[in-house]
Amino acid sequence: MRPFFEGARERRELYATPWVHEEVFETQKARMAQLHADLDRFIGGGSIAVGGRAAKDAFMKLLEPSRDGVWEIRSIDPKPSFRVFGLFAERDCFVATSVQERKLLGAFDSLQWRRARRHALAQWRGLFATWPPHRGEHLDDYLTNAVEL
Amino acid sequence: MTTSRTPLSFEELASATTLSPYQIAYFQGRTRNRVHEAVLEAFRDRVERDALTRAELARRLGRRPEQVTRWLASPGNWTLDTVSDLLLALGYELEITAKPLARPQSAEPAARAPVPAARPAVLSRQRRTRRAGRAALRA
Repeated sequence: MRPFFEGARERRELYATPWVHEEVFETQKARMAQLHADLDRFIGGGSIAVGGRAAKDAFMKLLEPSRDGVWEIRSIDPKPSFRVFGLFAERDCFVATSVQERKLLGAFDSLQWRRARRHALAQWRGLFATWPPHRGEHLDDYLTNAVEL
Repeated sequence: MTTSRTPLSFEELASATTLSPYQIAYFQGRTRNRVHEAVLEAFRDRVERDALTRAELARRLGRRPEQVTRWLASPGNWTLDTVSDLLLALGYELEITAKPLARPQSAEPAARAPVPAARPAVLSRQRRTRRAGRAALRA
C-alpha cells in the first residue's frame, strides 16, 4: 500500500487485502480517510505506541494468544472506532487482512473477537499457504520505533 | 492481494478548487498523528536517556499514571493544552513550522527509505547540535 499523499515517508511496508482496500479507499467516507491516515502513520515509520490492557488505546496490540501472531491496529478517533487485523510478514512489514468496527466486536475476547482473529489467520493461510507469519520474542522483533506502554 | 493505489499528487491537491471531505479528513488525521509522534518521540528519548517512568511524568503533571498512559497511547482526546503539558513535563517544547506540502524529488515512486537503525535521528541530532554549539561558545 502506498501512502495517500505522494510526498509521505515510507519506512515500513503495509499490504492490504482487497477487502481492506475496498473498505478504506473505495468508500471515500471521511472516517475511512482518518483510518487511512493511521495506516500511513504505520508506513511512515515514526514512533508508535504498542500496548496491552493498560494502554487500551495504543496504536497497535498483539492479540492473545500471542503465538498466533495476530495484531490489531487501532483507529480510535474520531468515533466510531475501528480495528485493522493482520499479521507481520517480516519486521516492519504488516499484512492487513480485515477491518472491523469496534462496537461490532463486542466485549473483549467475545465470540466476535475470536472470529476476527481466526479470520485473520485464515486469510493469511489463503494468501501464503504454508508460509508462516513472522513471530518474535520482543517488540523489537516486530517493529522499529515502537514504544511499549 | 491489493498492494498499492495511486497516491494523491501534489498537483491534484494544489489545484483542487474544493477539497474533498476525504482529503480534509485524511490531513486532519495526519496532523494529529504527527503531533502524537513528536510527543512520543520526546517521551522515548527521556526514557532512554534518564529512565523516566510514566509514574514520574504523571507526578510532574499532578495527574494519575493511567491518564498519562492514555495520553501517550493515542492522541484521541488531545487538545493543544495536552500537548503543551506533556512536552513541558518531558522538558521539551514544540518547534512549529508551516511549510508547503512537499513535492517528491523524483517522478519515480520513491524506494522504501531505510528504517533508522536504532534511534530516530531528529531529536538526537538536535541535541548533538546544541551541545556542539554550547561547546563552541565555551571555547
